[in-house]
Amino acid sequence: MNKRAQIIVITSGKGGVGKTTSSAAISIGLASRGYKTVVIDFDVGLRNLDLLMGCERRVVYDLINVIHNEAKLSQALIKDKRVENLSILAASQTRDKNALSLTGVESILDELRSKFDYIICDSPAGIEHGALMAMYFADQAIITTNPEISSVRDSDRILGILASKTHRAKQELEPIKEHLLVTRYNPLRVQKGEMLSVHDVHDILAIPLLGVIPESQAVLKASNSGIPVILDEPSDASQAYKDTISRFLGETLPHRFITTPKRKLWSRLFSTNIQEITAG
Amino acid sequence: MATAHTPAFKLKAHATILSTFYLLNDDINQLQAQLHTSMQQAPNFFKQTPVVIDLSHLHPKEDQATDLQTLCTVLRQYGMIPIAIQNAGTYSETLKDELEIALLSQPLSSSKVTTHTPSSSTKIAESNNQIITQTVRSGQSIYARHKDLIVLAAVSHGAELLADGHIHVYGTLRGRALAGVSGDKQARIFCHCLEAQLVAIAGIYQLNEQFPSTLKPTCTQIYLTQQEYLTFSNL
Ligand SMILES: Nc1ncnc2c1ncn2[C@@H]1O[C@H](COP(=O)(O)OP(=O)(O)O)[C@@H](O)[C@H]1O
Ligand SMILES: [Mg+2]
Repeated sequence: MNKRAQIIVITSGKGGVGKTTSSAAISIGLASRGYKTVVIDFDVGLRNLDLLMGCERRVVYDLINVIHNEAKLSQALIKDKRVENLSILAASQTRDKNALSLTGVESILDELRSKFDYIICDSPAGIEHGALMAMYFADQAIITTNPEISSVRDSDRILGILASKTHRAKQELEPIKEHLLVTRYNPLRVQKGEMLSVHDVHDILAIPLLGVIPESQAVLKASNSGIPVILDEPSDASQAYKDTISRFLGETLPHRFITTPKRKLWSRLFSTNIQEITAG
Repeated sequence: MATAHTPAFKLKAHATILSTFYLLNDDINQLQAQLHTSMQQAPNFFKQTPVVIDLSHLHPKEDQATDLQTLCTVLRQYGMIPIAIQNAGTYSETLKDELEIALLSQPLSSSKVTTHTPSSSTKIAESNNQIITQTVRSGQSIYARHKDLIVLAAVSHGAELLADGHIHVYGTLRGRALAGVSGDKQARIFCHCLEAQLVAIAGIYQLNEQFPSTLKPTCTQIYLTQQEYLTFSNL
């Protein structure tokens, strides 16, 4: 049977919100569920994804090499060593984003479409050429947003561009399916009024909420070790990303990690005990 | 003995909505500067817009001095198509021939042109509004020319709505809304929840920080009073 992959862009407008972290997690998540998945780093010039995926030493050819016919796609695809069904296409560190052309991107995506179920495009920040290349042929978009005004505004801008400047918009096809992924969520700071709540973000952007990823120490640890956080099983971020994948695949799950943890009675007793002991 | 012949044309009177260009003084530099700013805010704003030039606001002296030839050239540069002139005062018949535009003896009154007369014939009246069903996002600008603008969703911060008529927003209005942009002071803005950055009617505007503090975040209308003050009221 002929495959026709879904192209999913992970985008945001603003930088540093968690696009690459989410691209790694979502591609691993989908591959672990048995879907043939490829993740492409469109952040040409920076190359982050391969580092995060712990395969930077195995990069020989990259996206630009394939676009310029300096390598075959099969030579540039790196198979993930931990997860079956997952391949990575790295970005070039030595070129800039203008090396990406629409026709080049289209021909690569066409070739990948027949071999995979999901093509995940990790977008660079901004609303210029590179970001447009990453989103242009998308069927679905995961709008990665931090709970702060500037990130929400940029996401809103991106939603406008998705609805007007992409292939689906120009050809008047069914619009790109949009999902909201709120990342780096810190319920304690929300409670203090230092951050927007999920409710506020959702209200402003008005697209379906796919998931909420908590601000987590595990993410930092993961990016330093080259083991994507979703594989750090017991961590909150890993669980949140797994829930996100389940929802993406159609399951209904409540959102976790969005309220401040309630202090349980026994912990309070325990801490008073300690006080008593130290006082006495 | 009727000769069967088909007519080459027919003439019918229609109420067409036209923009009137009120010249407020004869400073051509100021005019160009204002047109330039308007263009920057909305590049297609004047494109292919037939206008009637109205000189009623000019003082007699300025009236004498106004170079209508230059005025028409400037308007055309910005995409407008001058088709007639009204309230030309001391300007005589000679002008219209020189400029090749009509001289309106009976000015089109604004109330007259904007009134929509439903016809009793079977022809369906064209509706005078534009409906937007999706959220209007930051960076987007929508202009309903000679129409009302109806938005069924929210309008984001950084988005802009322009209409010659009324503006209705059934979601939260967070961006900018400018009604009556061609000068209709009867135009109003209605919204489900007002958090706008700026609202304006017929060029009279107010920024968010100037909005009355007594306003509740519910259904609101904004209109111009006789004294041309922007008035906000909860519905
Ligand atoms: N859920 C999270 N908790 C804590 N830190 C995070 C989280 N998500 C991302 N980060 C950190 O934020 C920074 C930017 O993340 P990255 O995924 O590279 O963003 P982008 O690709 O949008 O620029 C990185 O240092 C990353 O470790
Ligand atoms: Mg990145």
